[in-house]
Amino acid sequence: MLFNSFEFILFLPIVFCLYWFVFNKSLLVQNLLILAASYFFYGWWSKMFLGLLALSTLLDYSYGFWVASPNRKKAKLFLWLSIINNLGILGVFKYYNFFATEFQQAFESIGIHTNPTLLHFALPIGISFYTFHGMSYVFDIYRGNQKPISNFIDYAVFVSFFPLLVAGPIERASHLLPQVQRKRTFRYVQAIEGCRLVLWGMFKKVVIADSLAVTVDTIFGNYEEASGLTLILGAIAFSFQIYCDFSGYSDIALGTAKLFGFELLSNFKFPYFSRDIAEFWRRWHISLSSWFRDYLYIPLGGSREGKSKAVRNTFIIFLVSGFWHGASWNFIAWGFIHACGFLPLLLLNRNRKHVTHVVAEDRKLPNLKEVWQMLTTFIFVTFAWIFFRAKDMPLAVDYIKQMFVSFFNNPEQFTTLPEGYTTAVYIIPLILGDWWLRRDERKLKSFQNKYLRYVFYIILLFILIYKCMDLDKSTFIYFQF
Amino acid sequence: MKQFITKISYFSIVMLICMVGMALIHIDDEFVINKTCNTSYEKLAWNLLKIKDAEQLKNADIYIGPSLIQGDVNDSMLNANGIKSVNMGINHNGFDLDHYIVKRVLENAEPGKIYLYRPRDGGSLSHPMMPMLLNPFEYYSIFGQFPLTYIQTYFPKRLYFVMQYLAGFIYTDKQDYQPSKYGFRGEENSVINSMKNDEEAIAEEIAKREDFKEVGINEDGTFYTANTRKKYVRKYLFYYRGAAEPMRTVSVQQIQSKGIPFSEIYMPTYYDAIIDEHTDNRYYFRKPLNYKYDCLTLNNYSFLNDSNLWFDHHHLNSNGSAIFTDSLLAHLK
Repeated sequence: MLFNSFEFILFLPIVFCLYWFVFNKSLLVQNLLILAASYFFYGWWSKMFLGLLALSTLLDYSYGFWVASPNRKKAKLFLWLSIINNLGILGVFKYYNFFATEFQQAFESIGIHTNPTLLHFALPIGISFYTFHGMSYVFDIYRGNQKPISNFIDYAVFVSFFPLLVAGPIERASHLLPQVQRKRTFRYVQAIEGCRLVLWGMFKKVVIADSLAVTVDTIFGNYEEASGLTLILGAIAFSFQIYCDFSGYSDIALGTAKLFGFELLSNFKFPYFSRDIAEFWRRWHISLSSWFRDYLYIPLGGSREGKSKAVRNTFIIFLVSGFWHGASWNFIAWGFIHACGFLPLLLLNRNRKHVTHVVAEDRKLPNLKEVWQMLTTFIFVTFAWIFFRAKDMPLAVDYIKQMFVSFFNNPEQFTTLPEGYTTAVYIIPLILGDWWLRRDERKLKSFQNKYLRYVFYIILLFILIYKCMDLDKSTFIYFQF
Repeated sequence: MKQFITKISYFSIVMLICMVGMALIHIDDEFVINKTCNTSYEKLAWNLLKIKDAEQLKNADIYIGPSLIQGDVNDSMLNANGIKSVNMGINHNGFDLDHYIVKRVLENAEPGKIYLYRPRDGGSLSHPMMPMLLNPFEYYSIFGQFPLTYIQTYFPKRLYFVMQYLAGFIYTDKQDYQPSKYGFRGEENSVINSMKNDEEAIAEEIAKREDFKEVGINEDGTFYTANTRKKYVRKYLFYYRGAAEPMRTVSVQQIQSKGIPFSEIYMPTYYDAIIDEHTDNRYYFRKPLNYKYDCLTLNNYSFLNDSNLWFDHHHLNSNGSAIFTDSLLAHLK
């Protein structure tokens, strides 16, 4: 079920009440409730793939014990089995058709005709996320950072906790499992923060992302006839659409988890205020980038074995990250572009420059240098988003070509830009709001005055209701991964 | 926990009061007309404009119902043959919308007779445009019930329309609407004269006509198509408790209280047309419990057994409407 749906509005309070009032006496029963609710939540989309979720959970739970074996050879063998298992599931459902088609084209080019059987079933929602949950659990046990847990229910809750089941954040066993295994106590402040995050997340998704989606779809759907400025606007609009869509989902996930006494990993920290690409990747989809860092980049050697290996590993990470997002060359190109953007920072040892502090941390406004840095980073990221949004490589390339050609050959475009007004109405308040909140994304500040606060929330809710009725109910972009 | 529940409860109550208060705001006809004209619900705008002109409705036969009325009853033909008629059919079903139109007509005019559409399988409760027309208080006071999906769809939609209505005072983009003389909205087939060279349209039309060939009758009297095996009951009377029937009762009572003659009218589908001409199939629809209304149905619809008269399995095209209206004329005269 979607977060922005009537079913979820009914589902959440019912589960909340059962969780805190009916089943709060026993931790086991409370976790069973969470598990049942999570499977119900997932099954609302597709009962067919519940079995796959259960199977993946059971397998990784079992691998956890085998990988903990003191016999390192045996442990390594089961580690590889787990990797093959999880990537195999992912490979079949997500990448099989891509490789089958690519091999067919490759064989065709050398005169060998093939007719591969393609699979025609939907991608199970959340598969990229829950397989990574399982893998991180097994990896952590192998490394000795985590002990295998004997309680299957606890493990199953870790994998399938409904707020993060279908689009993350990708949790770590060391962070979430202890919370599952200990009794949760209701905290008023946490619950209020949760409600605020849910409201703000819904607003970003339903009001901003879905409204920008209309503009983006129109521009990308008719890019051949659009002016250069319109195409630039389309790319900018998509930058904010995907940010609001995904960070909105993450906010709802974090907020919902808080209502049940859980603290999830932060997934977004105002990435468009980044001063370079390295900082961007420490602020965008943090759970995924840190997953790749810990389980792919570091095992490959990271940056410990010389610059050339560091460059190689960086490119591998970004290409794999692109491929994780979709079985298509344009996603790989997107990853490659980011790798190219990261490379100069790596070579000049400037990739860890802005680690500890947020832009203008002790000031109200950024200075000119910071504005320049944020702007150039944003432009780079937006350029790369064109490849992400376009349905394939030829369209992405055509879009960019049209953007440059039309920009310089179309002087009248500067006088009329109808989509600009719509885009600005949504983006400018968002930027201002995010700037105000930039120091802590997990604790949304609100008005000090209680009545002003309530009026603000009521206005937000009315706008939400309006937009829910106004737009088709679109799914979250990251569900397709 | 107590503090949280208290706070959430207070906030919810305040929010509910605001929502109900907003939902009660009356939306005037001008907004409805401006909103629906030049859209697929244009007939609603047309109807409201017609209602304002009492002379056009005086002593006329008024046809009220969904798209089957809108597209099958050719009121221009009826008028041309001396039967003053107004087709007030609006696409999509809803006994509540039917009643709304009845109520508005009776408030402003003196029609000759009112025909209300009788569906085959039971009336639909709520029309999608109702949230624009009645606030919750009005809806309940007229019908004594809410549709099952009231909270989920009707109520948020009501708020949506009210917010648009209120914002309309700021953003005035009135549309230029030229209402047609008659209410009939005949469906054209996919391929019309100007598209005869459009291969895709022609292929689509051929595929549709092939689909008509797949419609048949099982031995037990039920219908089937190649794609679905719907069990349309043909001959037997089934008495049932349609959830929407109380709404029809309210409409009939209001009509009868004004002394206006009333009848229901059944509109044929292609499934009725394939029944052979020798069979008296007057009872094409499932009768509600204690059904006691007059219902205009023809003895047989086999004269419409030609796929070229149909837009789809349920709607006649313009040619089919003309032939059907011709039969209706013979019946009315």
